[in-house]
Amino acid sequence: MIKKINLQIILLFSFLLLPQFYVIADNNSLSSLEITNKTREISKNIRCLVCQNQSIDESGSELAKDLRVLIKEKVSNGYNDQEIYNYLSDRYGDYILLKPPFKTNTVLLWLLPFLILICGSFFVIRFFRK
Amino acid sequence: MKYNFKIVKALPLLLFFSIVLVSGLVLYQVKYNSKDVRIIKSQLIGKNIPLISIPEINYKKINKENINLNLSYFKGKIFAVNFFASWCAPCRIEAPIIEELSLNIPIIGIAYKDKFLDTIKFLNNYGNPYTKTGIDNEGKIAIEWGVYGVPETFLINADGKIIYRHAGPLLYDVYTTEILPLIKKNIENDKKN
Repeated sequence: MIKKINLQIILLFSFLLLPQFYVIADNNSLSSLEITNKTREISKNIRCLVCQNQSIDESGSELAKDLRVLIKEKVSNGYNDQEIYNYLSDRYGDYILLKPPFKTNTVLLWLLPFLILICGSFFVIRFFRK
Repeated sequence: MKYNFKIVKALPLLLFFSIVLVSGLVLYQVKYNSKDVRIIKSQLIGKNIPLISIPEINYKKINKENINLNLSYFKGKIFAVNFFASWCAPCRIEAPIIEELSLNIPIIGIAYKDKFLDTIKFLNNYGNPYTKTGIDNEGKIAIEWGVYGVPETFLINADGKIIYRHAGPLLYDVYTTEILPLIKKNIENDKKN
Protein backbone atom coordinates (compact mmCIF):
# COMPACT_ATOMS: atom_id res chain seq x y z
CA MET A 1 0.00 0.00 0.00
CA ILE A 2 2.70 2.46 1.00
CA LYS A 3 4.75 1.55 -2.03
CA LYS A 4 1.77 2.19 -4.26
CA ILE A 5 1.24 5.65 -2.80
CA ASN A 6 4.93 6.38 -3.17
CA LEU A 7 4.84 5.48 -6.82
CA GLN A 8 1.78 7.65 -7.32
CA ILE A 9 3.51 10.58 -5.63
CA ILE A 10 6.60 10.14 -7.74
CA LEU A 11 4.50 10.00 -10.86
CA LEU A 12 2.61 13.11 -9.83
CA PHE A 13 5.81 15.04 -9.18
CA SER A 14 7.35 13.87 -12.39
CA PHE A 15 4.40 15.40 -14.22
CA LEU A 16 5.02 18.63 -12.36
CA LEU A 17 8.61 18.55 -13.55
CA LEU A 18 7.68 18.21 -17.20
CA PRO A 19 7.33 21.97 -17.85
CA GLN A 20 10.82 22.43 -16.43
CA PHE A 21 12.24 20.12 -19.03
CA TYR A 22 10.30 21.93 -21.67
CA VAL A 23 11.88 25.22 -20.59
CA ILE A 24 15.35 23.72 -20.67
CA ALA A 25 14.77 22.30 -24.13
CA ASP A 26 13.49 25.64 -25.41
CA ASN A 27 16.12 27.74 -23.73
CA ASN A 28 17.46 29.46 -26.81
CA SER A 29 14.37 31.05 -28.29
CA LEU A 30 12.12 33.28 -26.21
CA SER A 31 8.43 32.53 -25.92
CA SER A 32 6.02 35.07 -27.33
CA LEU A 33 5.09 36.16 -23.81
CA GLU A 34 8.72 36.76 -22.96
CA ILE A 35 9.21 38.75 -26.16
CA THR A 36 6.19 40.90 -25.35
CA ASN A 37 7.36 41.48 -21.79
CA LYS A 38 10.86 42.37 -22.84
CA THR A 39 9.61 44.67 -25.59
CA ARG A 40 7.43 46.51 -23.08
CA GLU A 41 10.29 46.73 -20.60
CA ILE A 42 12.56 48.33 -23.21
CA SER A 43 9.75 50.53 -24.57
CA LYS A 44 9.28 52.04 -21.12
CA ASN A 45 12.81 53.45 -21.31
CA ILE A 46 12.43 54.96 -24.78
CA ARG A 47 11.17 58.49 -25.21
CA CYS A 48 8.48 59.14 -27.76
CA LEU A 49 9.87 61.89 -29.98
CA VAL A 50 6.44 63.08 -31.04
CA CYS A 51 4.95 63.57 -27.57
CA GLN A 52 8.25 64.21 -25.92
CA ASN A 53 7.72 63.36 -22.28
CA GLN A 54 6.00 60.05 -22.72
CA SER A 55 7.65 56.72 -23.23
CA ILE A 56 6.82 54.86 -26.42
CA ASP A 57 5.13 52.26 -24.23
CA GLU A 58 2.50 54.83 -23.22
CA SER A 59 2.33 56.80 -26.43
CA GLY A 60 -0.28 56.26 -29.11
CA SER A 61 1.66 58.04 -31.87
CA GLU A 62 2.50 56.36 -35.15
CA LEU A 63 6.24 56.64 -34.64
CA ALA A 64 5.95 55.08 -31.18
CA LYS A 65 4.03 52.19 -32.69
CA ASP A 66 6.67 51.71 -35.39
CA LEU A 67 9.43 51.78 -32.81
CA ARG A 68 7.61 49.21 -30.66
CA VAL A 69 7.27 46.93 -33.68
CA LEU A 70 10.95 47.42 -34.45
CA ILE A 71 12.00 46.66 -30.87
CA LYS A 72 9.84 43.54 -30.83
CA GLU A 73 11.46 42.41 -34.06
CA LYS A 74 14.92 42.98 -32.63
CA VAL A 75 14.07 41.20 -29.36
CA SER A 76 12.78 38.15 -31.21
CA ASN A 77 15.91 38.19 -33.36
CA GLY A 78 17.94 37.83 -30.18
CA TYR A 79 19.32 41.36 -29.81
CA ASN A 80 20.08 42.25 -26.20
CA ASP A 81 18.82 45.39 -24.45
CA GLN A 82 22.02 47.36 -24.85
CA GLU A 83 22.22 46.63 -28.57
CA ILE A 84 18.68 47.93 -29.02
CA TYR A 85 19.37 51.08 -26.96
CA ASN A 86 22.53 51.68 -29.00
CA TYR A 87 20.67 51.16 -32.26
CA LEU A 88 18.10 53.78 -31.30
CA SER A 89 20.52 56.34 -29.89
CA ASP A 90 22.71 56.00 -33.00
CA ARG A 91 19.76 57.28 -35.00
CA TYR A 92 17.91 59.57 -32.65
CA GLY A 93 20.57 60.56 -30.11
CA ASP A 94 20.75 59.97 -26.36
CA TYR A 95 17.63 62.10 -26.09
CA ILE A 96 15.55 59.07 -27.04
CA LEU A 97 16.64 57.31 -23.84
CA LEU A 98 14.52 58.45 -20.91
CA LYS A 99 17.42 57.69 -18.60
CA PRO A 100 20.47 59.67 -19.75
CA PRO A 101 23.61 57.53 -20.01
CA PHE A 102 26.64 58.26 -17.84
CA LYS A 103 29.00 60.15 -20.17
CA THR A 104 31.50 63.00 -19.90
CA ASN A 105 28.83 65.58 -20.70
CA THR A 106 26.39 64.14 -18.16
CA VAL A 107 28.85 63.72 -15.28
CA LEU A 108 27.54 66.86 -13.58
CA LEU A 109 23.95 65.72 -14.02
CA TRP A 110 24.61 62.41 -12.31
CA LEU A 111 27.06 63.51 -9.64
CA LEU A 112 25.71 66.89 -8.57
CA PRO A 113 22.99 65.48 -6.27
CA PHE A 114 25.56 63.33 -4.47
CA LEU A 115 27.96 66.25 -4.29
CA ILE A 116 25.29 68.43 -2.75
CA LEU A 117 24.35 65.66 -0.33
CA ILE A 118 27.95 65.27 0.79
CA CYS A 119 28.42 69.02 1.15
CA GLY A 120 25.13 69.38 3.02
CA SER A 121 25.80 66.54 5.42
CA PHE A 122 29.25 67.97 6.07
CA PHE A 123 27.71 71.27 7.15
CA VAL A 124 24.97 69.60 9.17
CA ILE A 125 27.51 67.51 11.05
CA ARG A 126 29.65 70.57 11.73
CA PHE A 127 26.64 72.55 12.89
CA PHE A 128 25.51 69.95 15.39
CA ARG A 129 28.99 69.33 16.73
CA LYS A 130 29.08 72.93 17.85
CA MET B 1 37.99 80.86 14.48
CA LYS B 2 35.13 83.35 14.38
CA TYR B 3 36.10 84.43 10.85
CA ASN B 4 36.16 80.81 9.75
CA PHE B 5 32.63 80.23 11.06
CA LYS B 6 31.26 83.07 8.94
CA ILE B 7 32.56 81.50 5.76
CA VAL B 8 31.01 78.17 6.71
CA LYS B 9 27.68 79.89 7.29
CA ALA B 10 27.78 81.69 3.97
CA LEU B 11 28.85 78.65 1.91
CA PRO B 12 25.43 77.03 1.44
CA LEU B 13 24.06 80.36 0.25
CA LEU B 14 27.00 80.79 -2.14
CA LEU B 15 26.51 77.27 -3.41
CA PHE B 16 22.83 77.96 -3.97
CA PHE B 17 23.50 81.14 -5.92
CA SER B 18 26.17 79.48 -8.04
CA ILE B 19 23.73 76.71 -8.98
CA VAL B 20 21.09 79.31 -9.86
CA LEU B 21 23.63 81.22 -11.95
CA VAL B 22 24.81 78.15 -13.85
CA SER B 23 21.31 76.88 -14.61
CA GLY B 24 20.26 80.40 -15.59
CA LEU B 25 23.13 80.62 -18.06
CA VAL B 26 22.26 77.21 -19.51
CA LEU B 27 18.62 78.22 -19.95
CA TYR B 28 19.66 81.52 -21.54
CA GLN B 29 21.80 79.63 -24.04
CA VAL B 30 19.01 77.22 -24.83
CA LYS B 31 16.64 80.08 -25.43
CA TYR B 32 18.84 82.29 -27.59
CA ASN B 33 21.35 80.02 -29.28
CA SER B 34 19.02 77.43 -30.72
CA LYS B 35 15.83 78.20 -32.53
CA ASP B 36 13.63 75.61 -30.92
CA VAL B 37 14.43 73.34 -28.00
CA ARG B 38 11.99 70.75 -29.29
CA ILE B 39 14.01 70.23 -32.45
CA ILE B 40 16.25 67.23 -31.99
CA LYS B 41 19.69 67.34 -33.56
CA SER B 42 20.29 64.68 -36.17
CA GLN B 43 22.78 62.00 -35.20
CA LEU B 44 23.55 61.31 -38.82
CA ILE B 45 25.39 64.55 -39.61
CA GLY B 46 28.83 63.67 -40.97
CA LYS B 47 27.86 60.04 -41.45
CA ASN B 48 27.22 58.04 -44.60
CA ILE B 49 23.66 57.69 -45.82
CA PRO B 50 21.90 54.70 -44.25
CA LEU B 51 22.28 51.49 -46.21
CA ILE B 52 18.60 50.51 -46.17
CA SER B 53 17.21 50.12 -49.68
CA ILE B 54 14.36 52.35 -50.81
CA PRO B 55 11.73 50.98 -53.19
CA GLU B 56 11.21 53.35 -56.06
CA ILE B 57 7.90 54.42 -57.53
CA ASN B 58 7.38 55.66 -60.99
CA TYR B 59 4.86 58.42 -60.51
CA LYS B 60 3.98 58.64 -64.18
CA LYS B 61 2.91 55.06 -64.58
CA ILE B 62 1.01 53.15 -62.00
CA ASN B 63 3.46 50.40 -61.35
CA LYS B 64 4.39 48.93 -58.06
CA GLU B 65 7.40 47.02 -59.23
CA ASN B 66 10.08 46.80 -56.66
CA ILE B 67 12.96 48.70 -58.10
CA ASN B 68 15.27 50.06 -55.46
CA LEU B 69 16.47 53.63 -55.54
CA ASN B 70 20.15 53.71 -56.21
CA LEU B 71 21.38 56.62 -54.12
CA SER B 72 24.98 56.07 -55.17
CA TYR B 73 23.84 57.20 -58.63
CA PHE B 74 23.78 60.71 -57.18
CA LYS B 75 27.20 60.49 -55.58
CA GLY B 76 29.73 62.99 -56.79
CA LYS B 77 27.45 65.97 -56.39
CA ILE B 78 25.37 67.45 -53.62
CA PHE B 79 21.75 66.32 -53.45
CA ALA B 80 18.80 66.40 -51.10
CA VAL B 81 16.49 63.78 -49.61
CA ASN B 82 13.03 64.93 -48.63
CA PHE B 83 10.58 62.84 -46.59
CA PHE B 84 7.03 63.88 -47.41
CA ALA B 85 3.45 62.63 -47.48
CA SER B 86 0.30 63.74 -49.22
CA TRP B 87 -1.58 63.68 -45.89
CA CYS B 88 0.93 66.02 -44.26
CA ALA B 89 -0.16 69.66 -44.21
CA PRO B 90 3.31 71.19 -43.62
CA CYS B 91 4.50 69.31 -46.71
CA ARG B 92 2.04 71.36 -48.73
CA ILE B 93 3.38 74.52 -47.11
CA GLU B 94 6.96 73.71 -48.05
CA ALA B 95 6.09 72.54 -51.58
CA PRO B 96 7.04 75.85 -53.31
CA ILE B 97 10.42 75.95 -51.52
CA ILE B 98 11.13 72.33 -52.42
CA GLU B 99 10.25 73.24 -55.98
CA GLU B 100 12.79 76.06 -55.87
CA LEU B 101 15.41 73.85 -54.26
CA SER B 102 14.95 71.37 -57.09
CA LEU B 103 16.16 74.03 -59.52
CA ASN B 104 19.53 74.00 -57.73
CA ILE B 105 20.14 70.40 -56.78
CA PRO B 106 18.47 67.04 -57.45
CA ILE B 107 16.01 65.97 -54.75
CA ILE B 108 14.93 62.47 -53.90
CA GLY B 109 11.47 62.35 -52.41
CA ILE B 110 10.46 59.59 -50.05
CA ALA B 111 6.72 59.22 -49.55
CA TYR B 112 6.23 58.35 -45.89
CA LYS B 113 3.28 56.06 -45.07
CA ASP B 114 1.33 57.30 -48.00
CA LYS B 115 -1.15 55.65 -50.30
CA PHE B 116 0.28 55.18 -53.75
CA LEU B 117 -2.52 56.98 -55.60
CA ASP B 118 -2.55 59.84 -53.08
CA THR B 119 1.17 60.38 -53.61
CA ILE B 120 0.65 60.60 -57.34
CA LYS B 121 -2.25 63.01 -56.90
CA PHE B 122 -0.15 65.14 -54.58
CA LEU B 123 2.73 65.26 -57.06
CA ASN B 124 0.41 66.11 -59.91
CA ASN B 125 -1.24 68.91 -57.95
CA TYR B 126 1.90 70.52 -56.60
CA GLY B 127 4.25 69.76 -59.44
CA ASN B 128 6.83 67.05 -59.04
CA PRO B 129 10.12 68.50 -57.81
CA TYR B 130 11.71 65.08 -57.29
CA THR B 131 14.29 63.53 -59.56
CA LYS B 132 13.32 60.16 -58.13
CA THR B 133 10.60 59.17 -55.73
CA GLY B 134 10.74 56.33 -53.24
CA ILE B 135 8.20 54.89 -50.85
CA ASP B 136 8.38 54.06 -47.19
CA ASN B 137 5.14 52.29 -46.35
CA GLU B 138 6.10 50.91 -42.96
CA GLY B 139 8.15 53.85 -41.75
CA LYS B 140 11.26 51.67 -41.51
CA ILE B 141 13.34 53.78 -43.85
CA ALA B 142 12.43 56.86 -41.83
CA ILE B 143 13.66 55.21 -38.63
CA GLU B 144 16.97 54.32 -40.30
CA TRP B 145 17.34 57.99 -41.21
CA GLY B 146 16.40 59.14 -37.71
CA VAL B 147 13.25 60.85 -38.98
CA TYR B 148 10.65 61.62 -36.31
CA GLY B 149 8.04 63.35 -38.40
CA VAL B 150 7.35 64.55 -41.92
CA PRO B 151 8.55 66.68 -43.60
CA GLU B 152 12.27 66.34 -43.07
CA THR B 153 14.96 67.40 -45.48
CA PHE B 154 18.55 66.13 -45.67
CA LEU B 155 21.49 67.42 -47.69
CA ILE B 156 24.06 64.88 -48.84
CA ASN B 157 27.47 65.96 -50.12
CA ALA B 158 29.55 64.59 -52.97
CA ASP B 159 31.12 61.94 -50.72
CA GLY B 160 27.70 60.56 -49.84
CA LYS B 161 27.81 61.98 -46.32
CA ILE B 162 24.86 63.70 -44.67
CA ILE B 163 25.80 67.30 -43.97
CA TYR B 164 22.51 68.89 -42.96
CA ARG B 165 19.06 68.01 -41.70
CA HIS B 166 16.03 70.20 -41.32
CA ALA B 167 13.00 68.90 -39.44
CA GLY B 168 9.65 70.44 -40.20
CA PRO B 169 8.53 72.47 -43.20
CA LEU B 170 11.30 74.14 -45.12
CA LEU B 171 10.53 77.85 -44.92
CA TYR B 172 12.01 80.59 -47.03
CA ASP B 173 14.34 82.05 -44.39
CA VAL B 174 15.86 78.67 -43.55
CA TYR B 175 16.24 78.03 -47.26
CA THR B 176 18.08 81.29 -47.92
CA THR B 177 20.13 81.52 -44.71
CA GLU B 178 21.10 77.89 -44.20
CA ILE B 179 20.57 75.71 -47.23
CA LEU B 180 21.63 77.93 -50.13
CA PRO B 181 24.97 78.98 -48.53
CA LEU B 182 25.71 75.34 -47.71
CA ILE B 183 25.04 74.28 -51.29
CA LYS B 184 27.24 77.09 -52.63
CA LYS B 185 30.06 76.22 -50.24
CA ASN B 186 29.95 72.55 -51.23
CA ILE B 187 29.86 73.22 -54.95
CA GLU B 188 32.88 75.53 -54.60
CA ASN B 189 34.73 72.91 -52.55
CA ASP B 190 34.02 70.27 -55.16
CA LYS B 191 35.38 72.52 -57.88
CA LYS B 192 38.62 72.99 -55.97
CA ASN B 193 39.15 69.27 -55.54
